[in-house]
Amino acid sequence: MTASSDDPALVRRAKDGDLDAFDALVQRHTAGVYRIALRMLADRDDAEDITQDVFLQAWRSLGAFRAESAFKTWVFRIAVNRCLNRLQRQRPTEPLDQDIASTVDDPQRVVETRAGLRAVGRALAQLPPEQRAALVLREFEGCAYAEIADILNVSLPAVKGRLLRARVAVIEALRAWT
Amino acid sequence: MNTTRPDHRLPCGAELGALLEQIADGGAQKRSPHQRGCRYCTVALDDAERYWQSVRDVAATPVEIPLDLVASIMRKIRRLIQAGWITVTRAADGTTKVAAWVVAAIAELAAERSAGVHRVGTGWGRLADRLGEAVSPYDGEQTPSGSAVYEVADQTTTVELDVVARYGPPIPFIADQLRRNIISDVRRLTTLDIDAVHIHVRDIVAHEQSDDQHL
Repeated sequence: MTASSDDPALVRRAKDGDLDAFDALVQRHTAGVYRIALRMLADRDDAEDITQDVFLQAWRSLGAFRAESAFKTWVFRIAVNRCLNRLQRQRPTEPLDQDIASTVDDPQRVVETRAGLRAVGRALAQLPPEQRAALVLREFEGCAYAEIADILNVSLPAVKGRLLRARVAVIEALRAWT
Repeated sequence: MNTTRPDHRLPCGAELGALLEQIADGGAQKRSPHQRGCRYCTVALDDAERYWQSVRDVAATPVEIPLDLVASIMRKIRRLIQAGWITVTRAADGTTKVAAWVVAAIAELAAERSAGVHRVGTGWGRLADRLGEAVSPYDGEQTPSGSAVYEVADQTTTVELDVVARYGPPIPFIADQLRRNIISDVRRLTTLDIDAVHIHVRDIVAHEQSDDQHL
């Protein structure tokens, strides 16, 4: 996770037209935005397109960004909204398979983990998009509950409710498939 | 614990949802005295713990970020800034200008509703996979811009965009239709006349084919 403590200073400079400052913001938050899009859409090309769109929109809208929330929260919100829009127009998401061979050494564990990863991908793909967004932000981006509420623009109880339903559904799906 | 209802209660009165939250938020080690003594809670927590490990594995797996992504975002922004503002009407009571990227956005929207266009963008991630390369097959400045860019230079105004075509109609036919849509939409919305629309068909996919299964 990258330090984003001096994001506000970079945002102020970027608002004055400092492209290097915006470049620094893009470098910090590209990975997070791309991961969210990848896990929401399960497609690398779509994730790449969305990531580009998110930062282009952020640059265009920078003047309107009031810094009431963190820059990261703001771009994550743009990212989630873009993903939800695209999902509305699309067929159901096909699951994402991720390869873990490079991060796990024990062959037996690789096989088990790979099956688990595939199952998680399938479980994610079948969640309603709003629940998927909450789960992705919480479990994969490590966002706090309040931050998720801010990103999704819903109440804290609503976030908890979505996470709860998503977690139950994921566990039930994993139980069925592994 | 074979139920999908989050408000389901175990025989001991513990709420399933609360136990899941405990596991997911990492409190699995900190079981309460009741939970340590209760066989229902123990079974439910152990069960959830076992399945949730897969989610943690996914969370711990690094995601490969396309190498060129940051550079390509910044390249696009620079091009948009260079293209600047375009005056669409000038009158005694004021002028109307649109940013160049408004024209680019109109072109993208036109492309999205054009038959035969699968998507706007490069699709190079999939192309790289097909070529078995970890990096973009394009290098440096040749890297395509992705979505539409509007430029005014040497008295001509051009739109440039990358698309992935749908398998079926002849590609020149798809491109001509897309070109007409872009020119007419931009004219209708801004009154601007575009001299040229450069279309780069970067890839093609079958209509029914799921192009998502390359990970």
